[in-house]
Amino acid sequence: MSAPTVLVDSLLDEEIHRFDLDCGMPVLLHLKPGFVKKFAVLGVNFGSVDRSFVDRATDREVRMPEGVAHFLEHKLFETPEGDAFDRFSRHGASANASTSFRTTSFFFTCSSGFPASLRTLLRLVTRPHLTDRGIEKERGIIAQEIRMYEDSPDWRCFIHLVRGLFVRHPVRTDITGTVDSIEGIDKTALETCLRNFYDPANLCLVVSGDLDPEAVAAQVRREMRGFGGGGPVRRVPEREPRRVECTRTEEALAVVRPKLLLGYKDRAVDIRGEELQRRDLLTGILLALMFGSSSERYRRLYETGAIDDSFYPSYAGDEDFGFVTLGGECDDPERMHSMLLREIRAFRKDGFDTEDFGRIIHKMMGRFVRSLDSQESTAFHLLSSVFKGMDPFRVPVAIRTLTPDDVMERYEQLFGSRNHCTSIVRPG
Amino acid sequence: MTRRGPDETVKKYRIAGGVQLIVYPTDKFKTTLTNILLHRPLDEGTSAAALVPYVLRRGTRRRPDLAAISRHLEMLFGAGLDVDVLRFGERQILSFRLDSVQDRYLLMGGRGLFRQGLSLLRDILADPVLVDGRFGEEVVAQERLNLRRFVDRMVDDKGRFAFERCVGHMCEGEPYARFEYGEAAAIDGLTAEAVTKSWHEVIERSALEVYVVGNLPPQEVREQVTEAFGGIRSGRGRNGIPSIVRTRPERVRRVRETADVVQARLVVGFRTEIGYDHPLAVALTVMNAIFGGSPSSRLFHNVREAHSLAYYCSSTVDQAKGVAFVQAGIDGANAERVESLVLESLDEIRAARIELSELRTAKEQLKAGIRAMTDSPARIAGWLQESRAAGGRMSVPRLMERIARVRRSDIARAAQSLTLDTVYLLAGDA
Repeated sequence: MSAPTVLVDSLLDEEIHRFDLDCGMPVLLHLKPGFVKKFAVLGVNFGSVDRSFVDRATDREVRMPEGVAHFLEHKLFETPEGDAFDRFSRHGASANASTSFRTTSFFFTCSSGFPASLRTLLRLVTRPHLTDRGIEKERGIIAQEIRMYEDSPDWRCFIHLVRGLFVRHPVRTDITGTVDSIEGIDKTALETCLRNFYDPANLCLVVSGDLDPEAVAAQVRREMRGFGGGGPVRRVPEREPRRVECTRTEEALAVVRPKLLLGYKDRAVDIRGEELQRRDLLTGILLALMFGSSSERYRRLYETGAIDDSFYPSYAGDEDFGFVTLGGECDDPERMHSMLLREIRAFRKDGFDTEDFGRIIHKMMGRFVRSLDSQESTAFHLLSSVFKGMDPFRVPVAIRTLTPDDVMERYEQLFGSRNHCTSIVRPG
Repeated sequence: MTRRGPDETVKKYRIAGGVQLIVYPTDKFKTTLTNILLHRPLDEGTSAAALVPYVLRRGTRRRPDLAAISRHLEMLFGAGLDVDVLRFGERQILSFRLDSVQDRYLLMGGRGLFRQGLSLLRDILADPVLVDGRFGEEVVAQERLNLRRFVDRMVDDKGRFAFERCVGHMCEGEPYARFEYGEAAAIDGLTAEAVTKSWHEVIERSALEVYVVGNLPPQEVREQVTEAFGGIRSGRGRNGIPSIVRTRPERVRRVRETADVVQARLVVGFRTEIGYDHPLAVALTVMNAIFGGSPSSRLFHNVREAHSLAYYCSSTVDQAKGVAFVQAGIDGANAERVESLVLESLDEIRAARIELSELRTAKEQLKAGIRAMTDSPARIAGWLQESRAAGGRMSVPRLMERIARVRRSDIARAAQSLTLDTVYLLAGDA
């Protein structure tokens, strides 16, 4: 194991220790003196988008059914001694897991019995226990979960938008899969994913709390001994064209008011590290200047009733995809649609003044400091920084290097292409 | 990185005008949380009062519109301002919350953020934009519409909707049945005059509490809060708004309603006479953890895991009212089976068939939750409020001790106190 790196930010009064295990797994420890709670998250660089890859056992390209990462997340809680939830509970920890487009995360919080729960957490991946019977039972539970999402108009509106924006990229697929697609998930499929993605080099552990760094490192090293070492994941990327799949999608659902989401497909993709961090920070500033609640535009639209507090600009993205969504509830989707297009165009001409820019910078600095009070959000920030090759504490420095010109350049990247799609859910 | 800061001992002050100040000094956080709560009963004025925070947030004399307030918050390094309406037992609580970065962590200079934040909160509460002594008609019309839509939108969240419908049927005629955000028809009829009147009443009559969690000397907080809020009169004695506790439903009410849902929602409502001041209050909390309050609970196992009958199945207890609910997302065809499993699970606990390991796990989880509470400013403020409402005698160590003392027989008695009242099912047309 290499010597630990200690990142100290004396101004922010934060300290992070990083160890890289011989097996290739990075371990980050965020020290929180005085905190009772301990939080640990084991991240796997494996999400719903990772469906096509070259299997390291057969050297053949395989394509997995939709929802396989999420299914595996559920299934890893099964252990030979029963449900891992129970083990965590018995140690006084509360555990959960989640799957996103890019990452599977297993996490727990506790105030005592940390080593026992950390062992349980690591064993979820080092000692998987997949049985045909367990897989069959899980199918029923996941089908219920899928049906619950089907009842959510917001989720429907969002997923239709993503499918409209992307032609081939697997971000189009439901994270949970569909009731049909999960029928195609069996033990072999899950084992293939485990073998290829659940490898130390593709994992990262982040822990947070009032903990002894050396004790944590020693335990992790012990638990991970002899695990994995199969080499890097060989993903088969989909070549995503710049164009969108369609410009409009509509569905009738049991909603009280129509919902509209307008999405723009990002051109700034296939980047990592500092460049990616810069892209994400600039996106935040740009959206705050364009449609934030302090903007003149927002005030005007809100006061004329064109938007209400369900209106929310947001951005989702990773190394190889990105998109902006704008919208919310409205009475007349056609009107909202043309209004949004008009306002987006007008921004190029209207721009913003330096005072606006300065204020948003203040806000972003403060928000970064505030986020450090949450062990969970800091840990997830650290995890995604590792996977995306970013320096987590560079955020305040990076913010200060940004200029108004950078923001306008980002505007052109995002909105200049007119690669947009509108998703509407109407009462029906 | 060693810290020797203020001890985490709660300080309470009554300041001029009857404002209650509760300070929790701690150096664990980079932020200071200030939460102002106004308590009033759930009654026919609930809809008007629910609109008050949203209208107040729209502008102050100094910062007359939303954008001006947002710009100010941005200059305060992205301070967060949230207004909300809460239900606690049969009370409606209007909440105004601000959290801001402590001066010492401002990376670009800047000072006095706490004082500036208090001053903003004070202006929002007591110095709004008025036209001829009233809130602006347009502002009221917009916020009325927003609130109305918010209330309507609840229909889209099927789990929440089913829960509120069950409460509505079960507690019909009791204040508890009132939705804290108001009722659609009443909201639509609110005039600027009515909302202004409600604001005056809230300021003059409701108990006003200020909670501060952060790294500031309590004396200094007291001075600054006195400076900001000393001029505001606050009602007395409203903190002890009692709840109507009904323990013996005459018969079990069964309600089935239909909606366009794929997944059916089952809500089972119970009554209990065990309130905060009951000797079995803590036993009921432990009982809930075993019954359905955690992923290691009976309901999670029997319904979700063992029978694959639900995506979620959990229980909650509201001791401020003396009610408990089980909520499950299920396939409508299985409703009866799920209901039987829920009641069987409860019967097991009533018969004290509880394993020691299960009891230990439940207690550990509860204690862990309480300990972890001290790591979040918002949860500390919530705990301070709840323990104050529960009589203010409950300290963290005392609660821990009481949890440790709970025995199987106490849990069985707490479970026996649950009386089935209403079984509610929201299902698709089938």
